Amino acid sequence: MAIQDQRPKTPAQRKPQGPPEINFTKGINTFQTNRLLLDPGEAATLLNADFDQIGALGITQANTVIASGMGRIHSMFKTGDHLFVGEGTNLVHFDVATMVKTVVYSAFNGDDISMFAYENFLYATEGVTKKKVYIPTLAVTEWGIENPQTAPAGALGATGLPSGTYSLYYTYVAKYPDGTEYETDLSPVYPLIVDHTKILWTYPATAPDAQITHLRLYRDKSGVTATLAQARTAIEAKQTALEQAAGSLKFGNLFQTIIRSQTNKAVAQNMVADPDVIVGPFLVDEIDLGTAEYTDNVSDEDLVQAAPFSRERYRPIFGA
Amino acid sequence: MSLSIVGRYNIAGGARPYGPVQDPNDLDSMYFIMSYGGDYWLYKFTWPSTLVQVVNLGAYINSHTFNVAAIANDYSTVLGELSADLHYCIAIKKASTTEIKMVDVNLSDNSVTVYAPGYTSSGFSGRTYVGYTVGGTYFYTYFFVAGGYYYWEMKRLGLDSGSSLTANNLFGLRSVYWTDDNEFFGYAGESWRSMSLLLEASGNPLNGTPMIAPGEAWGKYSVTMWPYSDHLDGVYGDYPQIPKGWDDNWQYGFGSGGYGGLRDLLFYRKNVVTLQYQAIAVIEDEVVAVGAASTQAFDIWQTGDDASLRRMFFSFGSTEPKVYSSLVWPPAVDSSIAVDTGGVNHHITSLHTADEYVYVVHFGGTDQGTCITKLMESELVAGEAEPSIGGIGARLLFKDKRVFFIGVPNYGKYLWWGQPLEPQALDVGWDGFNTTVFDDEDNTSLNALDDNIYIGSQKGFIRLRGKSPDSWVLDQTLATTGPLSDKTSSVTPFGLIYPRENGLWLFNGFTSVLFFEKGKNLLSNVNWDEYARAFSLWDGRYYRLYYPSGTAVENDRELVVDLIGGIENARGTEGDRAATFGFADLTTNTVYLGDASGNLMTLGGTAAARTFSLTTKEYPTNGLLAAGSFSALHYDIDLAGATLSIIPICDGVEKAAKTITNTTRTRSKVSLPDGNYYRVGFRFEITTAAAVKFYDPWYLV
Repeated sequence: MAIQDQRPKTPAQRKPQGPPEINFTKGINTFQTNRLLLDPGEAATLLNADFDQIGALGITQANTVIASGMGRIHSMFKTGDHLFVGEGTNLVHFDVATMVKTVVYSAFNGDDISMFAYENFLYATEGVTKKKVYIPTLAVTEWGIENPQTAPAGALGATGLPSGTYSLYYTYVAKYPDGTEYETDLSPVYPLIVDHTKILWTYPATAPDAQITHLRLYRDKSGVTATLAQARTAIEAKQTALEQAAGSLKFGNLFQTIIRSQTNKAVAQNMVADPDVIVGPFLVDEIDLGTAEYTDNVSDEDLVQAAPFSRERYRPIFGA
Repeated sequence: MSLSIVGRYNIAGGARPYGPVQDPNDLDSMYFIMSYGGDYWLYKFTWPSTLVQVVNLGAYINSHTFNVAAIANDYSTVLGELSADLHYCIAIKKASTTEIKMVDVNLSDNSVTVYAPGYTSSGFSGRTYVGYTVGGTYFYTYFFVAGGYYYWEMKRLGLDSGSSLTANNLFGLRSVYWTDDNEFFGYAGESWRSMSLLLEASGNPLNGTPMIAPGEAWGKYSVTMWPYSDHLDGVYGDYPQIPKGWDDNWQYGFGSGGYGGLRDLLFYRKNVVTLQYQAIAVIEDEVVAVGAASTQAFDIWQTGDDASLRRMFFSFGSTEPKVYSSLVWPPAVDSSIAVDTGGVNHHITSLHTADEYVYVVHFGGTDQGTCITKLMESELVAGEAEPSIGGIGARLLFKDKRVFFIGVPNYGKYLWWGQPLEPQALDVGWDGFNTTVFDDEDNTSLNALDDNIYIGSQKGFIRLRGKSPDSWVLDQTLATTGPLSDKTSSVTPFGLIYPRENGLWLFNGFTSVLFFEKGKNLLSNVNWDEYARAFSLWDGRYYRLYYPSGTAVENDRELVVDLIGGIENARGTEGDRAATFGFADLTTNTVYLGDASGNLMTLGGTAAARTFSLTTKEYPTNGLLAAGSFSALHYDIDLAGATLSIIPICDGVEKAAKTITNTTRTRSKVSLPDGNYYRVGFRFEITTAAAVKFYDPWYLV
C-alpha cells in the first residue's frame, strides 16, 4: 500500500497554532541579522533596556551622583568601606558610610592608577610612582622601605667588657598600629676594634620614609664583614638542636619568630648555646626613630637575635 | 614599536637618486640611478658602505631628467620568486625628447645590456607611467606616455625596440594603474573619463581596447584611484562617492598606493585652509588620518605587499624630513625619526623593506648628497590589526602574595613580578622587579583565572602555572586572539571576557571564542582612536563595557550583556551612559562610576528621562494577516503614565505609529494596519523617566 503524504498541503490544513507571541527579554541577537530568523524574544535593536526583572523589560535609569567637584575620574578601587578614586593627579579616599572625602595623595602623574589591597594597605601606582596607603589612618608612604644607604658609626666609650673587632649595622623598621611590622635589610657595615671599652653608636636620627618608626642595631663579632649567608649557614647548622630545644618549631617558623619578635629571647638564646659556631650579626637593641646615639656594653647575653636574611630580590627565574 | 637608525651612508655630492630597487638575491643591496658628471649611472649599493658604479646609462648633459618612471623587477617567474635578472625600465626626457630605454642587468656579473635606442618620441609634455606584465613568459614593460592634454599612447617595450600598441585621445591622462590580472586602468581628470585595458594572460600581445568607463564623472580634483570590482574607485574632491568622513576642507591630495584590500588606500590630502598635508588611510571606505600635518609631504609606503599588514611609513617635512611609522588601523603614529638633519631640498625617493629593516634612499641637498639610511622597525611582521593601547599605565595583579604587573610605559613586552610574601618588601624603585619577556609581544592584559595567571596580548594568552618562581611553567594556550586593553578584560565565572573589533570574546583558560558578535546596532560605532579609555566591569551578573562612540573622546556608551542565563543565553543591550571609569563591588552589588566632570556616581537609581527603543524580530504571517487572522497586538505593559509609540513594520515598511498609555500594568490591544503582509515586526519607542515595564508575552491575535 502506498504511503500517503500526510503533510499539510495548505496553511488551512496545518495544525492550528496559538497566536504568535511577542517577547522582549532575550536582548540583541548579534549573530543573526535576518530578523525573520530571530528567536522569539530576541531583539534586532535594543537601546537603554533594563533586564533586572526576569520576564519583564524595563528602561535603564540615570546614575545617582554621590560626590562631585573632582577632576576627570580615571581610576577606582574599593576595599571594605573604603573607596579610592583617581582624579587628575590625586588619589582620593571616600568613606562609603559617610562619603567623607579625603585627598590622600596629589602627586601622581595623571595617568590611570592601578590599585590593589592587601591587609590594611592600599597599593597604587600609575606606572611611575608607587604609593601605599595605610587605610586606617590614610598615611601615604612608598610601597617598600629602602635599605639604609649609609653605615652607622662607632666610637670607643668608657671601660667595658668586650675586646675584638666588631662590625656594626642597623636596619629600618616600620611598625603599624595594627601590629604589622616590616624591616629592611642591613645597612653598610662599620668595622670597629674594641679593647675593653663600650661602643658608642651613632646612626641616622631621621629616616627617608615616613613609615619608618624604629631602627635596629646589629653587631657582629666575627672580625670580618659579616654576611647574612653566614648567619643562615650557622642557623641551619643549629637547626636540629633548635628543634629539640623548641619542641615542634620548624626552622621557618623559628626564623620568622626571631626576626619579628623582640620577646622570644629564650628561643633565640638556644642559638648561642655553642658560641663557636654561631656567627653573624645579632640584635643589639631597637631604637625609636629620633635618637642618634646609643651606648653598647657588649656582653654574651646580648648575642641573642639574628638579623633578617636577605630578601633575595633579584633572583631571575626566566631570564631578563 | 619604534624606529631607530641602524646606520647611514652618505654619497658626497650625490644627486637625486632615482628608482631604488632591492637586489632580489641580496636584500641588503639595491640598485638605483644617479647622475654623475653629467651622465646617468646605474649604481649598486651594498650595506653598509659598498658603492659600485655599474654602468653608464648615457650622457644627458644640460638636460633635465623628467622622470625615471620606475624600476620593475621581472615577475615572470612563478610564485613570486624573482628572476636572476633585474630589468630596468627608464624613461628620461632629453631636451624635448622622451627616450625610453630598456636596460637588462645581469646580476651574476653586473653586466648591463642597454637595448638601444629603445623608444623615442618627441613632443610629449605629460607624464610617463610604467607597468609590467605578470605571469607571462616574456617580460614586457608598458608605458603610458601622456602628451599634452589630448593624447596618450601605450607603449610596450621588451628586449627589443618596442612598439606602439595603442593610442587614444583622452584628456589629460593623469594616472595609470595596473592590476595582477593584467588589467590596466587609467583616468583622465579634466575629461571626466576613465579607461581600462585588459591584456591577455601572457601580456603579449595587448588584447585590450581602451574603454571609456560609462556614467561616472571624475572631478577635476581627482587625486587617486584604484580598481574595485568591475570599475574604478577613487578619492577626489566634492563628489558623491567620496569615502565616508571626507571633509570639505581637504579638497585634494596626491600620491597614493592601493593598500591591500580592494577598499584600502593610503594617500595624502591637503587642507585648503591651512595648506598642510596629512597622511590618510582609507580602510573599507572610512577615512582616517594617520599622520601629523606638515607643510610638505613627500612619499608614502606600506610595508610589504601582504594585505594583512596594516602598517605604513611616510615622510613629511621640508627642512627636516621625517619618516613616520604608522599603524594604519586603528590609526596611530607610533614612531618618527628624522632621516636627515641638514641641507635643503630633501627628497625621499624610495623605501624598501627587508626582513625587519627599512631602507630610505633620499637626497639630502648639496651638503648631504645622497643618503641611504637603514632603519630598524621592530614591528615589521605580518599580523593582525594592532590597535594602540598606549597610556594605560601599570596594571597590577596581586596573587599568592606576590605583585605582578604589565604595561608600564616602554616595558609592554614584559611581565614584571615582585618578591614573595609581602608587597611591602618591594623595593622603592621599579628595578626591584624581575621581568619575563614574552616573544616580543606587547602584553595587553593580566588576569588571574582558575588559579593560574594569564598574560594576554592581541595574539592570544600565555598561562603562568605554579605558586612560586621555582615552579612556574609558561604554557601557550590555544587562543589566537587576546584583549586590546587590560581595562576592558573582565574575569567572570565563565572566563575572561574581552572585546575585539568583531565583538565579545570569551577566554576559558584554554582557548577563546567569539560569543557575542559585533552587530549593526552593537559595538558598531566604536571610536578606536580613544579606545584606551574604554573599560569594562563584571558586576556579578552583567558584563558592562563603556566605550567612546563616534567622535566622542570620552566613554559615552555602554554595552550591557546579561549572563544570568549563561554564555549560551547571553542577552545584550546598548545604552547611553557616560563613565570614565568604574568599580563593581560584588559584596554590596554596587557599581560605582566616575565621569569626566568629576562626578562619582552609583549606577542607576535616578528617574531622569531616558530614550528606550526596541525593534522586535519579524513574524511570518503567511498571509494570515491579510485574511484577518491577526488584527490586533495584545500588550501587557505598565507605562506609569508615559506614552509608548508602537511602529508596525510590515514587509519591511514602517507604518504609522500608534500610541498607548496607562498608569498601571494593563493588558489591552491595539489594532494592526490592514494589508496583505507576509511578515510583521514592531519598533517600540519611548522617552520617559517613568518606571516602564514590558511584560512577556504579547500576542498577535
